[in-house]
Amino acid sequence: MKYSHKIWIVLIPVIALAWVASKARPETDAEGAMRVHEFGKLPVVFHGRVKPYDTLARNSLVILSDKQTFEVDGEKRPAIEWLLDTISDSPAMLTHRVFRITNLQLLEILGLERRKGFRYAYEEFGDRLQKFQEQYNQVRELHPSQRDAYASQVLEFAEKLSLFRNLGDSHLVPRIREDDAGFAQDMTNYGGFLRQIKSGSFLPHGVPPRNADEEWKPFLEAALIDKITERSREMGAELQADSTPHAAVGPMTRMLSARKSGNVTAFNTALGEYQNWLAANPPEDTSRLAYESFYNTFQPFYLALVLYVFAAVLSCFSWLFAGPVLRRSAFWLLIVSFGVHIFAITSRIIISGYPPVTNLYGSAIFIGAGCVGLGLLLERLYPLGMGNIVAAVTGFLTLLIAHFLSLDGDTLEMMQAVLDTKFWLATHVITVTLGYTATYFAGGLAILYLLRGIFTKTLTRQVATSLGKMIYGVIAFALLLSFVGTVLGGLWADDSWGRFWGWDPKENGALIIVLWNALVLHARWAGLVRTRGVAVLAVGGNIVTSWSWFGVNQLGVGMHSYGFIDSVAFWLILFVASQLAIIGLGLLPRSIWRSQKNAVAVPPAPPADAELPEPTEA
Amino acid sequence: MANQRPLLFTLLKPLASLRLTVAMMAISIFLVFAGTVAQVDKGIWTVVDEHFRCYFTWFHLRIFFPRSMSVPDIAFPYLGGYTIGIVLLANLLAAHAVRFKMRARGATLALGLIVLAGASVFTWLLIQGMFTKDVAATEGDASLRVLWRLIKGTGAAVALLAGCLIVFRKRAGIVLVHGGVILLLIAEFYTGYRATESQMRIPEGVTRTWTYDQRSMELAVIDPSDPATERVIAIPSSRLKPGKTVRHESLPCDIEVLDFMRNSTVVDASKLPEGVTNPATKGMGVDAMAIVRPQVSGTDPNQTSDRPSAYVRLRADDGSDLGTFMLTSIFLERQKVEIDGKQWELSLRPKRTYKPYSIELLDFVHDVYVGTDRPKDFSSYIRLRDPRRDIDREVRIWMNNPLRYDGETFYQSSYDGSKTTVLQVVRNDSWMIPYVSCMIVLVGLMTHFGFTLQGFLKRRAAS
Repeated sequence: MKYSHKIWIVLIPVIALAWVASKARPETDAEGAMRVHEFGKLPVVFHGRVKPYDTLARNSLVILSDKQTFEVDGEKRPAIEWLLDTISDSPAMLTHRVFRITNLQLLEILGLERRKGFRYAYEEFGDRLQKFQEQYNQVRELHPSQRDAYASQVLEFAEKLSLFRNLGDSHLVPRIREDDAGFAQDMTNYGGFLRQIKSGSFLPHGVPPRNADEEWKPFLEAALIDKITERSREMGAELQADSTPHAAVGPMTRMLSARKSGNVTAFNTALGEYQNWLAANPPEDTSRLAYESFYNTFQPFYLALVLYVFAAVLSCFSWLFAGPVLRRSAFWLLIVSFGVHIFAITSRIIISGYPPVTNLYGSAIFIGAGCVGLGLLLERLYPLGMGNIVAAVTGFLTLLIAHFLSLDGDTLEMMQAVLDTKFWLATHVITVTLGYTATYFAGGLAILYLLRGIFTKTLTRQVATSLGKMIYGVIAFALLLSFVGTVLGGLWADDSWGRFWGWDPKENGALIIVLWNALVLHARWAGLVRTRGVAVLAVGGNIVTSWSWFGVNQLGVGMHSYGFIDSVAFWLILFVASQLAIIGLGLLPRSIWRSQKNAVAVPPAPPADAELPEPTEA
Repeated sequence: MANQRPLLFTLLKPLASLRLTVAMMAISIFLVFAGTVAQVDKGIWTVVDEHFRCYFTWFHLRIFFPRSMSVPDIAFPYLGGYTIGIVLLANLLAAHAVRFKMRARGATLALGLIVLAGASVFTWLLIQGMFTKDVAATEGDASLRVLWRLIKGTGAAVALLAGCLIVFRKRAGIVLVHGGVILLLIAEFYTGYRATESQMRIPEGVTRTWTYDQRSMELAVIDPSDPATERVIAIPSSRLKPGKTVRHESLPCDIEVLDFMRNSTVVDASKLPEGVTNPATKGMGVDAMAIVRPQVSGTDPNQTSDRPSAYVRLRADDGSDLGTFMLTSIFLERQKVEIDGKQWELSLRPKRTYKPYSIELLDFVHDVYVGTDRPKDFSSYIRLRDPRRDIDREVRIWMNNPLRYDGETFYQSSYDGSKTTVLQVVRNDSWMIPYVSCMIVLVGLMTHFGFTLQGFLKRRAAS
């Protein structure tokens, strides 16, 4: 190997690191501009969790438009600007193109033309909402099993509209007349309005408690209470100790009005005032907000995803050109992206205070990290470039899945009380997720084995033996992890509601993985299959695991209804079909495999029930 | 003796086959899969009874397809969970009898067997509840409590491993794994046959001495003449088969079952569509008619429980018709009926079991996350009284922190409004087995893979 080539082993990872570092710079507000990014760090409670307004902005925008940014005249703008316009009732909130509507029938109802990106502004369809309401009323009457794609899009759009309105309504600055009759009338109206929006859905609570007895309140509620306090003070009513105006309401009101009128100085002054008050009276659980805000801007999962793509490309090149240099630079590039990946998972733990896996999103990123870690370990043991490729591809795929899962909103939601036991999340969930990881990893190696064997001549005797051992070893670990993880899940159930095993869909999915892995190992020991057979069965493990990971969640809704056009079910079926195709290929007679010339000569299978191999025999 | 051994071996050999193991595993995977997709239409407990906890079962072809597709109504027979479990158990035991040879000889073997026997006794004692407080609320963190159980399990596993290592040497891990799996299978059999689950619904300030089982209903015929103690004749719902007549000497009349609906709803009987006649002639059924509803599905995210209703015709001993009644679990009131000049009451209700102790709900606390309806914590402060043992103490039962008492465990399971708690009451004497077998299998697998890894590293170093 030439010395000059070796430089790439260092150079590529260093470039990657530099790129990552450049992204870690927090966003700052320009001098003399409205300090919107600072506003983004203010606390708000939504769906039970204290988070920065920035997170609320990003999550809401993702729900509406599938993106964390939006465009104004072709220029990319941060989500917080859109949120500020929306909650301050600025005229711009009607013109931002943030509603993604892809269903043609629904577009027609709303009087919209197809457009690239399918994103529309409120003002474009605002006058057609009456018509939409009629459609919505019809669709809502339908039983879930009768709903088609259009119906589900109507319901989804209604949810988007409701989120959009709730953001605005909860931050409404109340206008109350001064005269007695007007005051009473306006208070009654606003009070009724508040009750109505509170009962219909969950509102963001932007005003923090001042003491332990108070709770977080939506801005509108706090503002109304303030008006009453003020009024009674004017009238000389005896004040209770806690009925002083809320220090947050004044600055908030001024910020919202200033944003609406575009008054930069007024906005920044009010913001500074509010920040000072927060610094002096920090509410509970707000210490991590600045970090979360940084994490939002950094977007480490996105960075890792990009790096995995490059690593996958490098690994493929390393095969084509059989270059140890490329293989080693891919390895170190993977180390960099793995580092970013781990950093991101750690950040989520710090922000939420929960162990890493609390929902599907968490499991996707965790399985990704597990696969990459395992791949790097195997690459270290067998430097053949195979650990690299499986690590890069699984890392990329799992983060891609995670990205699509994140389109549903906040990925760091609070746990249902029954699930709120960190011990179990840290033991059962982690172990069972690692079990998924190992099963997938074995499946990935098996795909590599079969595809290389069938389509290339690179599956030499040595490579085949090494791959066979890797697959076998990983399945063994998959069995251990999935068994222990599944049983721990049962113990959780026993400890929580006295039923170790209830045969519910999620438990059954996990049980099938355990049985499958056990079956593969026993089939191998029984001499029913050899290396190739284990590989074929391991690909089946991908199907079994995906079904348990995503399929059982689809049963409740999917099998009942329009399930098979529903996107998750669609991708799941596509994936299963692809795996079945690979299994089919793997069953082709060896004589037509391209690698046949170099392949291991197949020794005759031992008679069934021969004395079991000693465990030392892998 | 000399002749019997080979004969036994010839008989056991096919039973011990690894191919049989693989086949049974494949069969069980399909059973679990089919039993899961069947839950789209059927309640989880119906599926457990019909497919898992049985010897033979039938599956309909349509459960494997989206419900919107029209699939021919074909059913095929399949092995039930019990059969698969028994065959796997027999297969495992036979394999150990035939294939897993004891490697130790003489005194070493004797020592190994003694260690194994001791360890087995220790494991048995753990399962029986050694080191567990007899009368106690579970205190402390769930994590510590469970960790402590797992540590006990590890103790048993390590003791068993020691015995296995002496007797089976390098096969010790596998033997241990199989032992753990056998224990788990036995526990599931035991749970299927013997464990009971019931509920207690207690409003604040009320004392209860009975639990009810939402999954099995009973038709209670009640003699309320003694205000202090009611006399109740209860007929389990399994006896309420349409077309059958229930006769018993303690019953004041014969009960002819016209219809029994596993899940139902009630409609206004005065607004029935044309062609529908109300079968009831007496009681609340005159005004309200019960109609059948599909069973609550096991995969339904908003799972509730089935609400059965029944139509019964009462006949006096002389065969005269005393009226047709609609009985439903939807309404709690009892219906009155006069038989031979005596007042009786009828009620279709969840099966009750009376306990020798009583539980009073002192206070119920229920917190949600701010701005949501997600429960954050709910706790029942109860008072447990048992005159038999002179026990009178206050206990808090809350999420993941049950009370274990008198062989039963009380879990905070649900609530009804802000003043009524619902406790899940479970009796399962084998509850400790999974904790122990989990650790036995873990230790076994680690031992086995440890040996494998050791061999691998040795060969790697050699080459």
